[in-house]
Amino acid sequence: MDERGARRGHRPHPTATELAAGVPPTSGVKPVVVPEAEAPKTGNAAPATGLQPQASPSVVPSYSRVHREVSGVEVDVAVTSLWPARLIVTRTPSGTRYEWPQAGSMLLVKAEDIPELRAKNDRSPRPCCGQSGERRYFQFPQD
Amino acid sequence: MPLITGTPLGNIVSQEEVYIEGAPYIYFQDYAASELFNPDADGFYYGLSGTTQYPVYALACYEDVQLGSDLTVNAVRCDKIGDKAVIQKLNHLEFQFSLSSLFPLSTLSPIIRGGPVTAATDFEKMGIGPINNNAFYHIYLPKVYDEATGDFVTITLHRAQFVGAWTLAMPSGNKWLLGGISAWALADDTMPTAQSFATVIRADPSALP
Repeated sequence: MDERGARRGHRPHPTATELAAGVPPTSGVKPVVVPEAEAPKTGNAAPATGLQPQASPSVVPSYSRVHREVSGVEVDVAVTSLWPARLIVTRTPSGTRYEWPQAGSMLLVKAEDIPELRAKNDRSPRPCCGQSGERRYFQFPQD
Repeated sequence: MPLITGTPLGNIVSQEEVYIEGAPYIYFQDYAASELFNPDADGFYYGLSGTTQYPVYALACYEDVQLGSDLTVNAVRCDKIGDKAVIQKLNHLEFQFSLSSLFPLSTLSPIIRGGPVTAATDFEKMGIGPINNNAFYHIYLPKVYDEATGDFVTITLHRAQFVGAWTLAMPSGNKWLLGGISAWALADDTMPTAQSFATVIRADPSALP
């Protein structure tokens, strides 16, 4: 095995079932960024195979799970950006402006702004191409 | 029994009646990320695994997809008798396509070698400046050729760079089309020599031993 292989570790050989299952190795984020479509999909329909890139396990470490309630009072929630860009969110219910410098960065978001950010995750008005409809900008601790 | 028409004797390996139609899916990811199998139990490197820091980009609507090779070929010429041998060197593989789905800019920027993207509540912003020649990507091209059985072929280009002069055509009465997109799959010397440019995987349980 070369140096790269040794550094990255060894994965078992995939079985046909594994490749065809289409299920990521673990549950969690699947940060595949998909362009919006100009035209409806034709011909190249997405089959239920495992050919889409796999999600990486344990993307968010456990220390990010800081969402908690103390004596019934909600505190800030650590939200991770999944978007491969500098991401700025304005017009939040609290009026706070949030800015994530890059994908993977984390910010404490006020609890009252969380539903707004969640809605952005679910908003996929122009999904495209088979399984690619989901668009996730943020990851929340309880996800 | 051999035919009298000229069928060779001995061990014969014949091809299969499998014909693949259409373009594969196109995914790419920053080269800094590890491939999904690195390696598998047989020593092959392939596939992608998206992470928060290094997401996998999936292209949506494209056409004119093709993969070729760039070779240097020189004959060993002996003037008295002609060419006795050939010296061949694979320089790189060249993957080409045209793209009509242009958004989000986060997916477009690496292809046209744009700058970092800023996305906000109402807009996306991206500059176009000097090209970063140190940006490399894995490119992953899976194609299911039998959807009933899930038979597929995948091509993983380990260390590719988007090159060439792109053209964004803006025709009347037709879609915008980003043409001239070319990615060179360069030699990746961290891979085993036999896989330095790419790895091809085929899965077809009904046809393979």
